[in-house]
Amino acid sequence: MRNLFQSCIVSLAGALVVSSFAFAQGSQSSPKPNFGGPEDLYEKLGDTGSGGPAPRRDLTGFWAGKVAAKLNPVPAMTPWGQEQFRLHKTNGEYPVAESNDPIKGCDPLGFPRNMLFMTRGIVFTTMPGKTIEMSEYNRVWREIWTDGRDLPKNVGGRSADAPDPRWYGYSVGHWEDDYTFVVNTVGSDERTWLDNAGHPHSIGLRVEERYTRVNHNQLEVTIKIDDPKAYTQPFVITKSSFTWIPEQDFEEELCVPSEQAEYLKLVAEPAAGSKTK
Amino acid sequence: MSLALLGGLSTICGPLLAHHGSASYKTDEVVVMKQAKVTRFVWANPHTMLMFDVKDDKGNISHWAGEAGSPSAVRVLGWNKNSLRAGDVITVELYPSKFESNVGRIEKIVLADGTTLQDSPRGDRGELSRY
Repeated sequence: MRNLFQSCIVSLAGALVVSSFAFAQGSQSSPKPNFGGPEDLYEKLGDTGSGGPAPRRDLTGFWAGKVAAKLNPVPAMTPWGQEQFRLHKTNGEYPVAESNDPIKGCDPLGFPRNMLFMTRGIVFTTMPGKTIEMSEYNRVWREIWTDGRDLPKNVGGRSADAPDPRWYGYSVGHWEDDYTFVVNTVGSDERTWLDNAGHPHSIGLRVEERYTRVNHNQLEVTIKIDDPKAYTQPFVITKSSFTWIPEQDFEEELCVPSEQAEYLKLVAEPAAGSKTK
Repeated sequence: MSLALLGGLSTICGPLLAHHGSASYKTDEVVVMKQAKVTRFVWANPHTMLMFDVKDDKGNISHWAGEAGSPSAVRVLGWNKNSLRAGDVITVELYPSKFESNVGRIEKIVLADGTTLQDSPRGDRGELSRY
């Protein structure tokens, strides 16, 4: 609230000329901007209590998270990482119309970005030999093999048996104990960004996710990044929380290319001065 | 069209925008447009869009477009796909583009019955994306 007040004071002088003119036209002053209200289902649900003890070795169900995870600072990048980072024009730094964020055209967020952004909802379910993790955003899923297989090697290599990179990589998982499920992933496509800030990753990226079910209603996730080609040391990029959704349902949240194209044409491009309406 | 020509227009101090798309919009000014007439409401990702017309004191009509948060972001604030329909007369508060275009990021909308549709939170609330 203090920041808002300071913002108002700073901006008052700049707004005064137009305001005075407008008031002279007989319009009424407006209410102050309202910051109330939840930003996502996670915030709307609030504290739902523990719901009892966590079931053993079970993440099954629908979970609500924040719109975006709170991220830790990244360590120093390698020269390769710095060069990739320099080429990335983010939606924060540039008008949307001028950014080159892959999601501008509804490209997949990819992994691990989909666990750092647009994390309003995730779902776990199981099949023989694998756990499936789904995301509300774009209704994508990841297969996490739990049958003891190894992660593929040489993803993106030139040999005929080399697996191709994937938007959401290749994952294997195991229960470390009755309440912590550990997932390791390789092979994420280099076209995806690590985060909204445009930090890069290479095909050599390895990610470890640790899902700890604290109790029935609370799930904590720690995500560790290890990418020697892009960063000088491994780092934990986030520790975020999810809450059990009582209704076990959530929104259909799709980035539709035709709608995105319309958004760019009608709003983003004019807003950036790219075109005049 | 100059902002100053709009009959029902005023500005108020506003919060800082910090994330998606904010580079296009003024951060210290909120434009208020009364008696705006909805021409189209698009319930879409990554942003809902509102097209509306505003008439100035001389009867000249200007066409505006505003964006708000994604359906998931504003649904928890009481919006839905049918919250706004063509022909609705509303009040719109938005952060205008830095450029000479009638586009802005919506702060909130007040319906004819007084119901307020607030855009998703942002600015000083930390790691928000405005999606």
